[in-house]
Amino acid sequence: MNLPKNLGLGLLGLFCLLTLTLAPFVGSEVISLPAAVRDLLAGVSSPQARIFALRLPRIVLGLLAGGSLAVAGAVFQTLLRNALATPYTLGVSFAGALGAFVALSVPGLAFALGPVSSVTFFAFLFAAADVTALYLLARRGRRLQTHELLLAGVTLNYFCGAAILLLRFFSDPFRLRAMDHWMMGGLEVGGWSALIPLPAILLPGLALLFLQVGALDQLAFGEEVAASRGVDVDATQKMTLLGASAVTAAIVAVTGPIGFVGLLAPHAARRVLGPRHRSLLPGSFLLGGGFLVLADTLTRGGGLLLQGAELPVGVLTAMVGAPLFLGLLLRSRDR
Amino acid sequence: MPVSLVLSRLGFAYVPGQPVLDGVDLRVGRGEFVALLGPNGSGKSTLLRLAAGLLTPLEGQIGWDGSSLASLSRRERARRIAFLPQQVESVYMHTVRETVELGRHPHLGTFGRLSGDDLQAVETAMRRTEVGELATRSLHQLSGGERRRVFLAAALAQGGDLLLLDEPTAALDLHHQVTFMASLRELAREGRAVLCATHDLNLAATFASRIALLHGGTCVADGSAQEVLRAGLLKEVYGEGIWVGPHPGGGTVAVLPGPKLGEEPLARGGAEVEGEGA
Repeated sequence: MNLPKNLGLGLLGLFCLLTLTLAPFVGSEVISLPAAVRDLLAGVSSPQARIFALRLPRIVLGLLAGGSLAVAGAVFQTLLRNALATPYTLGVSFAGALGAFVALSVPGLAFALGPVSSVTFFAFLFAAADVTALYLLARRGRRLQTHELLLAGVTLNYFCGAAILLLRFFSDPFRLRAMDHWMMGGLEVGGWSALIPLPAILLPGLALLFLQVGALDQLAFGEEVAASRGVDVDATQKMTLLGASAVTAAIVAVTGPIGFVGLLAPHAARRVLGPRHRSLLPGSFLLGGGFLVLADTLTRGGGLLLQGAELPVGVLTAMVGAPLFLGLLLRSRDR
Repeated sequence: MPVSLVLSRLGFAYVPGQPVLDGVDLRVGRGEFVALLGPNGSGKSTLLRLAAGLLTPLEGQIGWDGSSLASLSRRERARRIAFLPQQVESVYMHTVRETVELGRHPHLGTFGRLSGDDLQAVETAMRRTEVGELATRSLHQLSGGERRRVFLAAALAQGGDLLLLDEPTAALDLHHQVTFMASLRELAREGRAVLCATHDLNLAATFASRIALLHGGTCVADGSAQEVLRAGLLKEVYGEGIWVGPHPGGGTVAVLPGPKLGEEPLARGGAEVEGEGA
């Protein structure tokens, strides 16, 4: 399917807009938008207005998280020259989980830095440490060896997984429950305050990636071709690794590791828009953001059916995403 | 003939103390198609990477059109010199047109918009390599020969007058080897400088305007096919088992497998011609 790029981007934008519009109305409480907006504007604290106000930050977080993970996934697939790479391939998710679990387990680490909880803070810290360690391991002189980056990332993933099991071994059932909940990934935030630190990382991180679209196109053909066409390969690899890792770490720290968006969305966007990054990155953001908001809306809708028990959105994205991805894979094999 | 690419006393080592190239002198002029020969590990690919600016020489100088390669920015260098590595593969399903357009990279801005000039260069390159009919096909659907032509088109779209190619015919059948080499000769005749590493001595003898032979880190011979492809020299460089004689179809010389190591020489005719060559 090769639509004109602008039409393709427009369609993805429309999909994203539709899910955003639909999302506030679905949930365990049904609300009427005009009433909610009227009450909000008038400053009346009606239940309708309160529920609407609670759902909005969750929807915005869904858009930011799904969009950013999809962009990071698209970039990692090119950077590592591996179509199966995800934002979590280099261990950012497990390292983040380890940080979160340390904050949940170690006495005295339950604090808050302004709007940032210690769980979020340590998750980000550990994820950042993971990428820094990988960067130092995979560097030979000035050059970054991407295959070593991949191998070291997979290894660190295992290490963090083992450390997580060790922590769990010493944890009581109450903490285990909190850990499981975090690990499933979710967008339930109490209000806008949890989102406040995100722009400080997402804006520069995504900007860094969008400025490299031309160089990323060339990297898809390998380092030698890119270098012979005038790309500063070292700088591009370092900038994109920094940008994609920072964005992933920030999202994981706030939402936990929500899976499959970062793998599925770039692949689907590539099917519609082709592999050029200047349209692929914005397209991935729209599709990933829309997909996660839709999935989250479904968990709330499901909660309506299941008498208030909401499925974790990370579980849903994986369960919906895996068959969708297999479908994409089979269709591309037929071509 | 104005001299274009000038390599002088070029030295390079990946590991200190183990030079791959040691004092190589080579010139490739505009209008020339020079074949770079040499056994495995003789430094052909390294020499091409140095000439493309992907590696920095430890010793010696590389000049292109009068200016030192080191003085050019990445972008300026890429606008003048195109390099086609041994294996080019994309992780994605690019269309043929997209692939050729991406060759324009050194002429484009951050977001890669193509101007009228860029589109013109892409069209010309695709026509030149006869990949126009394939424009909307995906790279994955092409045969090895077609894919090679597409990447040659991308290199042409890049716009430089120096083409560096590393074993471009390695995976092609004989017909496609011949047509690909013929198109390189044609590109050189139009005024470009072409330097092409290859293992195929016969293709080099048939199509190249000059042959340079690398051995032991230096250029041991540089000249016409008759001058370079001599039985004695080839035995010295490649070892035993090579037969050289006149091309039966009226070309320059032909190189064939000869008697193996430790075996009796071939029948009389082969031995006689070998004597002639040496």
